[in-house]
Parts: sequence; structure tokens; C-alpha cells
Amino acid sequence: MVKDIAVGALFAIVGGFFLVNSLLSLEFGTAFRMGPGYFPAVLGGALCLLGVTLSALGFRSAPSPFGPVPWRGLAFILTGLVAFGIGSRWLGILPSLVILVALSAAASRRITLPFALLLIVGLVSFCLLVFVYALGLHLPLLGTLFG
Amino acid sequence: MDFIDNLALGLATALTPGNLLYCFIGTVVGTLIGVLPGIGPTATIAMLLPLTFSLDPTAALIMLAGIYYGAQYGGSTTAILINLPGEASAVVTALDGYQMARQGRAGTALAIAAIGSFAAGTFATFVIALFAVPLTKVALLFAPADYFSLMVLGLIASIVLAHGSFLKALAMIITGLLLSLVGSDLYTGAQRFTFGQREFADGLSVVAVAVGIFGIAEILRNLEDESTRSVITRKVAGLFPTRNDLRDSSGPIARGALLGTVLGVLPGGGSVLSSFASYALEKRLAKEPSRFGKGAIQGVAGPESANNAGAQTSFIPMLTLGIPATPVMALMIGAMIIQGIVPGPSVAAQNPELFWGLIASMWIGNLMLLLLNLPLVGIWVRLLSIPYYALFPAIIAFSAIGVYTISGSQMDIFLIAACGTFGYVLIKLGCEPAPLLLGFVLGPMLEDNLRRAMLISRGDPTVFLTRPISAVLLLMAIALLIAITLPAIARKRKQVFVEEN
Repeated sequence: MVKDIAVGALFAIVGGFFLVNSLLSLEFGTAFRMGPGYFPAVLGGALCLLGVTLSALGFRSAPSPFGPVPWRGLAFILTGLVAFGIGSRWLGILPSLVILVALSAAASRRITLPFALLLIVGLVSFCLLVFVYALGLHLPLLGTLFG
Repeated sequence: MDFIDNLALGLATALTPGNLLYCFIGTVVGTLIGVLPGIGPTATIAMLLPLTFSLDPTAALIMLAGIYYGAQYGGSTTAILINLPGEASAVVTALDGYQMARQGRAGTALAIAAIGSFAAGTFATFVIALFAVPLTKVALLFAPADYFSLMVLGLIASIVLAHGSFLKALAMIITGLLLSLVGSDLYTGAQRFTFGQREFADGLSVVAVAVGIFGIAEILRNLEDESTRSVITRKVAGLFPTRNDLRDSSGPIARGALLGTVLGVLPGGGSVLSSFASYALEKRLAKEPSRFGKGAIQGVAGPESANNAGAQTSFIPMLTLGIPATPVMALMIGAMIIQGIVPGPSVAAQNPELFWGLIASMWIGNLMLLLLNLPLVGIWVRLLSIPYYALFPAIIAFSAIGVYTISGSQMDIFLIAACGTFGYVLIKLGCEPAPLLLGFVLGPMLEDNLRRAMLISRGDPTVFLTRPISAVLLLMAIALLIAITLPAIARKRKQVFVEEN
């Protein structure tokens, strides 16, 4: 029940966002000559309506269990990805990759430290092997911090 | 004859050492991820898409295709041996296959699955080769209004396969469509929803979105419960099926091949729909329907043949019309675009080695899989004891580097994180990610064709019903919509998908 109400609200917000943004900043046009705002506005409106309907129906539907949420996993993986993104230019791919793998490994509650270290070394080496040496892609291994 | 010439060209292309190697790599990787639960062909193809940059287009597509139908083979191996389908299309195989394994007939089940898949794959390849060129000619009759209606049909059809409610699937499609509109407007150059970020001017990266929604979100889902699954490694003896088994399976294999070939072409169809439909058909036609679910070999032979045929013929709309029938095909189109090939009816004429080489390599790949899978069964099963915490960091690392190599943009990495979170939230709330990706890929084409159709008809919306092709397609879409919402069929859908849980 709560799930349906929540997802309906989410869709309504997303749809509403696209609808309002299109109407405010983009040209709508006519059916003959559709402007850039036509399609997104129509779709946004439809999504908004769907969201409201889903929420409304959600009040009547049976409750279903939500299940566990891997908060630790979420925190570590998202931080890892963001760190990789930020570090890619500044630190370079090599350090960023190490950070990414380390944080990803930490996302697991079952991994042991020795295995994690092994994983970092092995995985980073493997990625370098495949992407840089085997495929010859030019990746900035060390970033602007290192000159 | 053209047909023979084309096949000859195809075989010549597919049998070059380079292409053979990539076919082999693709099918092995495909089997691998088919065996391993928690990662599927969509996420894998998305991850490896950036790698295809440095390959020639034919090799790239051959490898990616190998991953796709290889996953069908791998998924059935674990479905039979440990009741853990690694792939959605192997779910029905587990129903009877696992029971056969428990009765000591695992070897027979595996062998029949492999033989059926190969037979169906051969048939499907033949059909593709036969009908591809005529279909391209039909495709040339399509006007923008017809393309629009075809894509609408495809999107509606993909709802049929989505679990959960019809409304949620529809909402996912529209969300995908909206996300695809981020970027520059094709006609006016106006920046839509980019918030001034220059990196989004070309739209959101398909690979980042795919990898986020199918890769990261799935990893998060698997991290909810990190307990190990018990892998009962069973000694697989008696690989050769008896005469009776072969005789009992021949009908289901033939029917499965036919069913898969037809259903695979439908937008939204593909291997999953084919395998479910085949199971339902075989159960309906069987002399002893009660044996299904208790180890009936027909329950393995039919679906396994159907899912392989379906996987292959789902290439047809992509190769002839340039329209993806499934998210995987959408990514294949992405790969073609990266290589500078515009997908559509002209591919067959302008890139014949690519077209026919790909088709021929599908048959070769099937042969490789037949020879690979049975002897290596032991290895595949042992792979399952690799702990998940060794796998998922690899998936994340590959995804991040892969996306970075395409654009070098930090925003794309953040996009992966955002899509991963968003995708996970949606999955938790009971939505399916596949319709979103399909909408995301079809969005620009949908809008483009809509606007063109409106321009041509001078703003007259009835053009969608006055053009015969468009009218037929839209009527089919409406019929599907009605069919899905009818209570009787809604119950059947729920019944079929309940078995998956």
C-alpha cells in the first residue's frame, strides 16, 4: 500500500517536473509544427496523471512487505562512484580506480580484509591490462595533481 | 541465387580468425554471465559496449550477439542443476529441469536443452537469412507515421512481459521516454532539461543509464541479503539421452523453434516471452499434463528451443528496421551508432558483410556453445561458488571505466550513481527496469517520427489511422492493451509470473 502511494507520488513529481519545465522554458508549438516543448509536456502530463492514479489506487491495495535496504552498500557504492567521478581528472584513473574498488569491496558485509586487498590489486591490474594494454585506450592514469 | 550468395558472404566473413575469436569470446562470456545470477546480458553488454570502440563493427556485433544468446545457454545450466535460473528465459526450464536433476537425469536434461537450443538456433538463423532481405523491402514502405505506430506497439508489448502492475510498467516507459528527451532538441537545437550542463547537450549516455539501472540497481538488490546460496554440486552422469527421450523431445523442439522464431520478432518479445509461451503450449498439448512440474522432458525441450530461437530472431527488427525489440537490441543499436553505422533498412545493402556476417556467426556461435557447454558443465557449476563480493566490485569497476572511456565526462559517472539509486528505488517500489530502458532508447526516434508525421500530414492526427500499415499496428497495440487489462488474462499473467518467485 505505502509502496504504491510512494511510487505514484514519485511518478507524479517526475511527470510534473517535465510538464512544468516544458511549459515554462520551451516553445510548445502546434500539432502541425511541434515545438521542443510539445512532446515532453504531453508525456510529463500523462506521467503525472498516471502517478496520481497509482497513488489513489494505492490507498486501496493490500500492504506488501518492503524488505531490507542495504544502507551500507548504498552508502559505499555511491560514495565510491562519486569519488571515481571527481578523482578521474584530478587524481587520474589509477588512484580513482583503487578508491572505487576499495569502497565497493567495503560495501559487502561479508568480505574479509585480506581478500579485499587481494581484490583491489587483482582487479585494478586486470582493468589496466584489458583497457589500457589490450585495447590501447588512452586513459589518464595519473591526473592533474601529479602534473 | 541471392540467398546462397549472401550466406556465402556471411560465412566467409564470420569464419575469419578475428571474427571467430570474438564469437568465441562473446559466447564464453555470455555463458559465464548466464550461469552467474546477479548479472544479466543487458548489463554486461552495456558494460562491454565501450570496449567495442576499438573493434571493427562486424567483430563488435558478433561478440555482443554471442553474449546475448550465450547467456540463454548458461542460464539453463544453472536452472537445471541448482534450480537457480541465471537468466529470465531459463525460469521455466527450472520447473521441470531441476526435477529431472533430482531424479538423477540432470545429464539428459542438459543434453536435451543444448540439442534443442542448437536445432532451434539453426532453424532461426535460416529463417532470418531467408526473410531478412524481403523484410527490408517491406521496411522501405514505412513512413514516419508507420514507424511511430510500430514503436508504440513495441512499447505496449513490452508491458505484457513486465511483472507487476500494468500502470507501473506504463509509467516506467513514459519515464524512460522523458529521460531520453534530455539534451538538444533535434529540430531547433533548444536545450531541454540540461540545467546548463554542456555535457548533457547530446543527451544522457545510454551506457551510463543502462549500467546504472541494470547493473548498479541489481547489485544493490543483491546486497540486501548476502547469505550464500547452497550449491549442491551434483555429479552429472549419463549425458546421453535415451532414444525415448529424443523421441519425446522432437515434437517440443520443433514447436519451440517455430514459436520462438515468430515470437522473437515481435517488439517486446524475445527469448523470455518465447520460453513462457512454449511451456504453456507443451503443457496444453501433452498427453499427461500432470507430469509437468515433476520432471517432464517436454518442459525442458520446448522452452529451451524457443528461447534460443527467440533470442536470435529478436535481431530481425533491429537489423531490418533499425528498431529495438528489447533493451539488449537497443544496446546493439547503440554499438552500431558508435561505429558510425545508421541502423535501418539500408544496413543490409550498405554493409552486407556486417549484416550477413552477423547472421552467419549466430549459427557458428550456436555450434560453439553446443560443443562448449556440455563438457564444461563442471566448471560452470564450480564458478557458482565464487562469492558475490568478488564479483560485484568487478562489475562496478568495469562499468565506471567503460563509461569513462566513451566520453571522459565526470557527469556520466555521477549519472551512473544517480540512475543506480533511482533504479533501485523503483525496483523496491515494485517497478520493472526493462520498460524504462526501452522507452529511453526509443524516445528520440518516437518523437522524431511523430513530428515528421505531423509535418507531412500538416497537423492532421488521423494520419495514423488512414495509413494502412500504421492503422494495423495501432489496432494491434490497442488489442494488446485490452487483452492485458482483461481480468482473465491478467490472472494468467500473474499465474505465469508467480512461478518465477
